[in-house]
Amino acid sequence: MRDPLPEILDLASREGALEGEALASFLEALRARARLVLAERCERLEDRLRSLEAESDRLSDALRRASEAHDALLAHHRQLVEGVAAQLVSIASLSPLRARQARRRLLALAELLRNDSR
Amino acid sequence: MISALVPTLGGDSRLERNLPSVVRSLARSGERWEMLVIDDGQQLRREPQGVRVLRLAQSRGYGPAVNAGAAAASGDQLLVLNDDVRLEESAVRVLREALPPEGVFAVAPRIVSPLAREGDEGGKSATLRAGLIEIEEAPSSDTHPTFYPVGCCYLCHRQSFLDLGGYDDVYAPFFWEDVDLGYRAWRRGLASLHVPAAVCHHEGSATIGERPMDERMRAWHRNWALFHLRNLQDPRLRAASLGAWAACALFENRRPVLDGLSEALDRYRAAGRRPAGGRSDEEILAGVRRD
Repeated sequence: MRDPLPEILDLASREGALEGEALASFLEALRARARLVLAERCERLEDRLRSLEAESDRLSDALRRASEAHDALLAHHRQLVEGVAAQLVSIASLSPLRARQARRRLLALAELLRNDSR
Repeated sequence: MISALVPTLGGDSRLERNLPSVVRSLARSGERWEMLVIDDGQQLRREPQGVRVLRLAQSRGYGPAVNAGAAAASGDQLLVLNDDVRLEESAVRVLREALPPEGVFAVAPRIVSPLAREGDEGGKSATLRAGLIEIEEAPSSDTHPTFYPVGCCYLCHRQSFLDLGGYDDVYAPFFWEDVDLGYRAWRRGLASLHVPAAVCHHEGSATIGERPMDERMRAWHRNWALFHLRNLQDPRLRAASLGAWAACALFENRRPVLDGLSEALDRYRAAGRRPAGGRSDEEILAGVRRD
């Protein structure tokens, strides 16, 4: 990127802006404009910072909500697995003569798990 | 006779929306009139009916297009317009009545626009701030001097426009050419007046707004710097403006601004400074200050 500063200073020098009374005007404006430019840069940075903070808040909130949803789902699945395990133990303890009932209960459990996976 | 000049860069739909209001206002002006649509770069798809169309083979921007229209116009007054401007019916008549035969370069209406912070971009004042001339809106309910006639709508004497040399091509394609023209007029003692009793509606930078933001920022800063380099005569104001541009070169971190400054220096080297003479910078700025 071309730096315009040397050319501006060269022009100022050729025009006599760097000597006598003109130099005071040159320096006063340089200081005043520098303050404005830097203040505007700070403002743009503050705007950027505010927008990053807002984005960070939004992401944190989304993360928190996702984490809560995950915990709830995990609790539900633990409960489900515990329930299924208890049922299986109960089915395993049935007499072989009650195989039909055992089959019906196994199919019901399969249906329960299928529904939960949807 | 009034010659309305409407430069356009492929603005078919804008012309269809707005030209009927211009025709109605011209017809109510009590003056003979003609309308020239300047097709900048031959990008119009449909030729507007009932108007002269001046086709420019190459698109060079707003200023050169208006200059071409002024050269081809038959009227002794020019109504310069953007293609996204709609006139209220009384606008041209009120402007014509407000333009005296001499002493005034141009009269500009109230410009109702979404770009205007205070609802009217027709009246402008100038302030010296940290070494540079900055433009501010100067809305008013009465006719008053304005820093320059905003390029989107004003009425002037064609001869004055030509005597001043029209718009300076060095600003092409856009930004600051109207400020420069108004400043040169003030230098010769020709005022520009804001006439809020005449009203137009500006859609707002319809053509320029289509350009990328970086390009607009670069063009704005290039021409802002060029305006100072070309026009300021007072040695202390010139020194102050150079100090201000040095500060920009030192502390700005936006590339389009720095590129704009470099381009300004290139163009200034080719075009140079305007000849001395006429009203002083301080007189001009004092005349358009709105405290």
